[in-house]
Amino acid sequence: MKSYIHYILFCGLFSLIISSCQNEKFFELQRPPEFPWKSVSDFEMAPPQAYNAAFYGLGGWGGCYGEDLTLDYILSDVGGFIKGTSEGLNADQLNLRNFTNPPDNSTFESNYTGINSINAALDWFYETSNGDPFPTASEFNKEKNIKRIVGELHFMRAYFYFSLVRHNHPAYQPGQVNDFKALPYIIHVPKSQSEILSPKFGTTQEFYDLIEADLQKAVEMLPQKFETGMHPSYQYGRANKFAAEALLARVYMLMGKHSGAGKNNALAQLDDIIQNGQYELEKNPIDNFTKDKDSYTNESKENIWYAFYADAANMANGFSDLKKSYYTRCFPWNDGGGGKGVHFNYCGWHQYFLSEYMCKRIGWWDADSTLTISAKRDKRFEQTYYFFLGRNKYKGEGVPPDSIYDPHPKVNYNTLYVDKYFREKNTPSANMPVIRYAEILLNRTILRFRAGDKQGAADDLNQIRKRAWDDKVAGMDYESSTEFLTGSNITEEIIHTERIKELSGEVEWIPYLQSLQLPITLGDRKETEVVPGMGVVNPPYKGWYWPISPQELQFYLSK
Amino acid sequence: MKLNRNSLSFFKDGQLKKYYLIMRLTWLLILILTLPISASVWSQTMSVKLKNSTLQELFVQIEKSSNYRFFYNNDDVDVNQRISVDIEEKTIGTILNSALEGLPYSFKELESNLILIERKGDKPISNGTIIQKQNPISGKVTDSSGSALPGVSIVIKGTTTGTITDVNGNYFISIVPDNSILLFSFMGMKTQEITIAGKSTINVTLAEESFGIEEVVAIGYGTKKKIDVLGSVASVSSEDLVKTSSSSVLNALQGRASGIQISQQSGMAGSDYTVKIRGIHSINSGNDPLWIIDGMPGSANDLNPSDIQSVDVLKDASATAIYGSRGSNGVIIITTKMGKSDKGEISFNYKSGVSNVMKTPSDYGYANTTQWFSVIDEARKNSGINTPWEPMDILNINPDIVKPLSRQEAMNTNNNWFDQFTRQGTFQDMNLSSSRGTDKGSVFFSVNYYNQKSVIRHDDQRKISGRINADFKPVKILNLGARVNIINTTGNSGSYTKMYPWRPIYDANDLEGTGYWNVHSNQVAQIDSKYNLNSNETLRGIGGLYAELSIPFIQGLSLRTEGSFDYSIRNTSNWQSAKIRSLQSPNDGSAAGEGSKTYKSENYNLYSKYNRTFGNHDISATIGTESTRSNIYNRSMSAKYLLGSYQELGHDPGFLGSMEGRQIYEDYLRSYFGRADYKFKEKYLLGISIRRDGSSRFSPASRWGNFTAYSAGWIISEESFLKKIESIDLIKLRGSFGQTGNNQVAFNRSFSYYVNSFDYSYGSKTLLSAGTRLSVLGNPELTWETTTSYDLGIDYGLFKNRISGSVAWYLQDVNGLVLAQPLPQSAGLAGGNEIWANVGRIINKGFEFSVSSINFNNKNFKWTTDFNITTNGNKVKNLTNDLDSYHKGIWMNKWYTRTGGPVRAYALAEYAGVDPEKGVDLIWEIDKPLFDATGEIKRTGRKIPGTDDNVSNTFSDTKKTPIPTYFGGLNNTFTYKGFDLSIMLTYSGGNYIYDSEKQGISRAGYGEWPAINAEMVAESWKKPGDNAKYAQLRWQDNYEWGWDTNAPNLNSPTKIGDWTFTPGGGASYKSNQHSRYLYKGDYVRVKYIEFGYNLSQNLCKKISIKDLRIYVSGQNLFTFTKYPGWDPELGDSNWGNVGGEGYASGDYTMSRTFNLGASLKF
Repeated sequence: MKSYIHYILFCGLFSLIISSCQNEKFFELQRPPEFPWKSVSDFEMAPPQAYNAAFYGLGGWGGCYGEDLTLDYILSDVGGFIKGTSEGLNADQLNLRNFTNPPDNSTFESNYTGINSINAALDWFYETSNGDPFPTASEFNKEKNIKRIVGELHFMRAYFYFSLVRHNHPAYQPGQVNDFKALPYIIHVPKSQSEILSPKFGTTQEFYDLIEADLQKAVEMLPQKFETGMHPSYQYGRANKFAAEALLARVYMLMGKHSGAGKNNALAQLDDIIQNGQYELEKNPIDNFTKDKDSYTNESKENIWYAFYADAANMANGFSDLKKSYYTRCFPWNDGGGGKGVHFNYCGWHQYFLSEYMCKRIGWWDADSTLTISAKRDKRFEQTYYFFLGRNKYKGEGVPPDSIYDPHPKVNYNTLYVDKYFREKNTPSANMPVIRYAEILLNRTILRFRAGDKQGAADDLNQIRKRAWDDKVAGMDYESSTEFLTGSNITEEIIHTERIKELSGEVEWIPYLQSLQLPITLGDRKETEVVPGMGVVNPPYKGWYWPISPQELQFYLSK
Repeated sequence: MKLNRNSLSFFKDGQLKKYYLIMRLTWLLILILTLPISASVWSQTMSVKLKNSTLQELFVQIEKSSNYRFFYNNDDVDVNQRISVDIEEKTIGTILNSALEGLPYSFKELESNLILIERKGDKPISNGTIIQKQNPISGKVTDSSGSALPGVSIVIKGTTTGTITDVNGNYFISIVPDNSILLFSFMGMKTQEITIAGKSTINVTLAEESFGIEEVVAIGYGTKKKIDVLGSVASVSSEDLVKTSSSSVLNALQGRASGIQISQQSGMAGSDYTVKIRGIHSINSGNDPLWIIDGMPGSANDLNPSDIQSVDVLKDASATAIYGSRGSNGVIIITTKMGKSDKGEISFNYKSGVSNVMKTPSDYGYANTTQWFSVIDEARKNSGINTPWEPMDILNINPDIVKPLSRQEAMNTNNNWFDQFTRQGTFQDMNLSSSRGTDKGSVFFSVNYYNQKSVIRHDDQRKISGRINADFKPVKILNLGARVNIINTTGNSGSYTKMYPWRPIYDANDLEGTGYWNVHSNQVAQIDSKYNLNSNETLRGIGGLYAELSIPFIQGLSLRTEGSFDYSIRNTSNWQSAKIRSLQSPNDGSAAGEGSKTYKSENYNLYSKYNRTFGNHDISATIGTESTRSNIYNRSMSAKYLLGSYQELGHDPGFLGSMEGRQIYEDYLRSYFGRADYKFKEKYLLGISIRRDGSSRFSPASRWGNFTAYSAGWIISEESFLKKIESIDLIKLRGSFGQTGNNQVAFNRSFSYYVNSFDYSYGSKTLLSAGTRLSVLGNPELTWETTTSYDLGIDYGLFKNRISGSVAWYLQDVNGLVLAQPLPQSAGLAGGNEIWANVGRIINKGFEFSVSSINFNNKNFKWTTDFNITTNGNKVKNLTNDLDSYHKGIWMNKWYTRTGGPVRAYALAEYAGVDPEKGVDLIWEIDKPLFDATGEIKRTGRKIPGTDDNVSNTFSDTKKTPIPTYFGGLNNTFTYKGFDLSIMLTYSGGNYIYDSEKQGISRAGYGEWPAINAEMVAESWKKPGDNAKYAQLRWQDNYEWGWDTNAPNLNSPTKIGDWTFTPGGGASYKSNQHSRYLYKGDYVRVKYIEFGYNLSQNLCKKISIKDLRIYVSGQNLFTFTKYPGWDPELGDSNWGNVGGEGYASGDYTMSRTFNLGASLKF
């Protein structure tokens, strides 16, 4: 009997030990992959990656901020091209307006990298946490930080998709069916390989709807400005409510929602910024680009949103603005770098100046490329542009003593470069305006003009023109001059050219034309020098977008 | 006591606590089961109720209820005799007395729970005649060393009557027919048959079984007689492991067993080895076999070869499936020694030796100063440069050169830089061990001291290790034991580089007082231990406890529990004096870094074994569970501006560099396994093993996997039609089929995770230092790679086992290779747009053959031979859809792996000689459009110049790989009286090695390469018409003849592409990475020769010792190869990385070693 007891005892214990081992706790890692946001402070790290992707890109070249501006400058009628140079960008292809292959896939990748991690944070906020990820957080924290962070995430997702849809889809056509599909429409983190390989592809309309919705949420959730109690990092280079309204205004302009009743139009957004934003124009145009100096914040009263490059620790990431050097001819990140004057540091990579066509259109050059009084009395010419004399005039007579000759061996003609970014000695750490008050005024000018409010348009534009007016050169003040605008002498061409003088190389020109359904002209190109159909491109701007790269497309096709 | 899951609180809390509690519970279980067990038939009680039953039924009942077994002679005892017994709780002795009362039988209790039933007085034999009872037979059984062997089975042949030897090796049998034969058998020893022939005392010396069918091999969670093993298992004995001078078990294993290939990765002290069993089984995951040391998974790197009893290499699925997800790459089981002699034994071994490099720079073909200048000057002249080359043209590139060197000074210098980096190596190896065994247990103890100074200057290693193996038998049914091995390894890592032969090394007038010329860039100064130190120390403890309980009420059933650990701490320290640091970082003083890595691994096994024979049926089964936990914690720090003069990081350094302290690895495995083997009539065998593994490397959804293997065998030699053939001792046909896994998959590929990094930050770092990105999208379906293995083999023994061995064919179908599947950019993953999945498949197959023979054997002279050869090849069946659809394959530098080809084939442009008219290197052109469209690599038939562009756009499809297609070893041993001579050869071939060093030095460049190929002086192209070995020497590798890929050429097969001629030069041939430098890696190496002398036993007795052997040996004595590089065996085997196996980058050769040693036993 005793033996049977032993036997039962043994079998029982043995079975128990064996069966007890079937629990998953055994496999629990002491150091599993960490969830990144366990506190409000942690959650603060969610938005920066998006700004990083937009302004620094992956590895420094692919940020959409620099990419969009550069391509816009080159492809439009604004940029002029030094033939025979081909450093860095595929200049020939761009000059031909050849949209066969994307010039830089890394921007596409950096945009989706930013989007995917934003989606992760939003999924967690809305779905996992049901909109209240930190229930024990103070109400102040929830309002000033958590809500603001989510607002930033919406804002940046809109920023990325706005860049992508303009890059890879045809221009939005107001009142038309915008059903073109090319881009993956990803608003949640994919959970599997098959989900990545078979994404939903969004129509142009869907993307614009998403961007509008994201920006509307951003306007609702973002504060007007930094306040004590918010995370201190929010002070520098981050989006606020007015940045969201400004971006939304750009979107509405492209969607043809220029003005009207209610808030869902561009003019309403701009009005709010002007009335409530407490922004104003700086005294000098260059002040927007030099006030940051050694400070983290851009102290310009005009800046609504700026790209942060000021921290020396971020220097390695600060190369996105390198692309701008294509139309500035400066090598900005050397200690000795800088724009016009003693800090000028020539770089042979740079190959785009302001087109001769545009120089003449804005009235700064006369027929033989010499400067007009209009240029000389404009502070912007002196402060934000750089005029080079062609090398063949090196020994000529009548050359101004402070003129600089273009050192490029191929350039034997006068050129004018955008030179607003690198005027400071320590230019790599200069913060860059992304949205500033001048653009708001210029946008409202054209919208007011188109809406029939010509006096209102003149009033807005006069602020810009007056700031640029050099009394000493002109010999009179702006209001006394014939240049002063009223509802009766303002024209649309004046508004356009003023925009070029103020914002070239800074805010994209082509979306402006598309918003107004204006043709994209050739600039310095001849009809025979571009891909057929890409001469003067009229609405609906057929073919004016890049296809998804073949490498990217192959994934979807193979699936 | 009531136990249920809830009462086991340890399953809820900390894992470690739980782990130990499980062990404690098992010990408790054993204790509970052990306590009631008594040790005699007169103390163990039971109840029996039999009515009109047979004696046999009584015996069966007692056997079931106790640990006793009955022995009797069928001719003497009629077990069908009817009896009736009704006894409650009496001793077994009482029960037997009662049952046998009135019957002509008596019983006697023997050792090992045997009860002998014997007839009283004279007894009849089968033919009915009466024989006279003999005087008892007695004697002693010893092993070849004279030590007593307890537990030897002695059976009268043809009966089950017998006994076993006691603790002193003595035996006694009371009744033995006069004309009978005694069979003496013992595990691991050759069975002996001795005819009684009237003798009353028979002393027997059993010889150890070296390769016979009685050999016992370790299989997973147990041992088995080799004849019963159905899998492919190769074994290496302890004697063979101690013959080389290396302190490494791996070195000692080289060439010893079929199917296992071992190669050393460098000639430095303590360098790692690459071990592959039956080739490779994975592209991205590990190919390392699983090592089991006394039941504990771990590394064998630090083990003392003298401590090892046997090494068993498990190769096929039937052998390794019991290890489940870790079995795909094979399993190597190491069993350490245990005490076995009643008298005890003390052994002392000492050997010492010297070593030298096997090749010198001049052997390799480096130019001396004169030749160096000759090449450079000729290159400049050929390129139209008439100014003499100045050494400062090169030296100036290095900002650390502060003292100039003129051309004439350089030409007057011809330093022997190689001697500055190398030296004559030495080593000492001392081993002291002692053992003793009794019937209650045994102890083995050893201490080892090993000190090596390798041929690389400042490269030293010292190892001290100690081991205690103790086995204890407190009661008859319980064995307890412990294994403890402590190893302390300290060393310095030397380094080696090349120098310009014309560059001075020393400078007596050095202003900085170091004595070196340009000390800040002087490679010899950089390794000077006064200024540079790279030290390391490892403290490792391996050990464990086991308990094995023979379940008393189920005959043949035992329960074993093993708890093991492997802990190590490795500290590394590097220090560099400000005196030699680069001037690039001036004024930042001396610098140092320290690191400490703690590795902890714990393993727990609990399993039961059942072995039983029922007439013609032999059954054995094992069932159990295993749990393994391991982790690594890493700490490191570095600093500059060190204070103090000691060679260490010191206190409060001026500038703190990097700092890390974190757990970098953790891995948990839990398993359930079982194995059942069945043998019928000693000739038909069947086996099945199954394992269920769960791993923390994978997500819960894919965590668990099952691995099953089936095997069958037929011992044909036991059939009557072969039994008649005396020359055949064994022919066993065996086959297996089964699945195993490879869990050496990189971590963190199953789980999605985020990374907070400064790289993703924005804004002021002081305010917010990091941004968060989704870095990796984990694949929850990812699991281990699965290998389906097929194995067919024949084991044979011929001519009384004078010839024995095995032949096997194997095929391994590796499915679900873990490969990175590229994802579109829209995946937006910061860690790379890819996801790892089980997608690829490769086939790996080959043959193995091994033979051991006694070629000659008489009283004074014996000659034995052991030979093995393995062939191996693999083929990729598929990769990912992406890689296959584009014909892309996996390209890594010089290799590609593509579907339809072997793993990692060289993809180099195919060299086509030197153009006799133009003096440039040629390569064979391929049809590039065809390649782009289909992936097919096909020659156009045209030779084109080897310009940089052409070389980078041209591939070959020779399917040459760095993986040997055959390898093995040959060992011959001769003994003559007291002398013995062993000659061991290892060989390998069928592989190719790309000699990057030879490629690099075979061009003039602009004089930037420290070494230049001396052959180029005389054998480079000089003039049109020359059939030269090397192209014309040209400065900066810039030639006048080039190639225009797009030029129309109607005369060519492709109608496009033609020569160009640019006066003065215009085509770059700098990238000369083509197949010219791809060499066959075949070699035969005389691994060692050992000559020894054993002192005669008479002399030994006179000086009161048991045994004395002195010997001399040499290692790596000769290498027969056509490979022109440093050493065909060397290779960086970091398989997953570019620069891996088969890529020789100028590493130093292995050393040739000569040893003198003595072995003494008391």
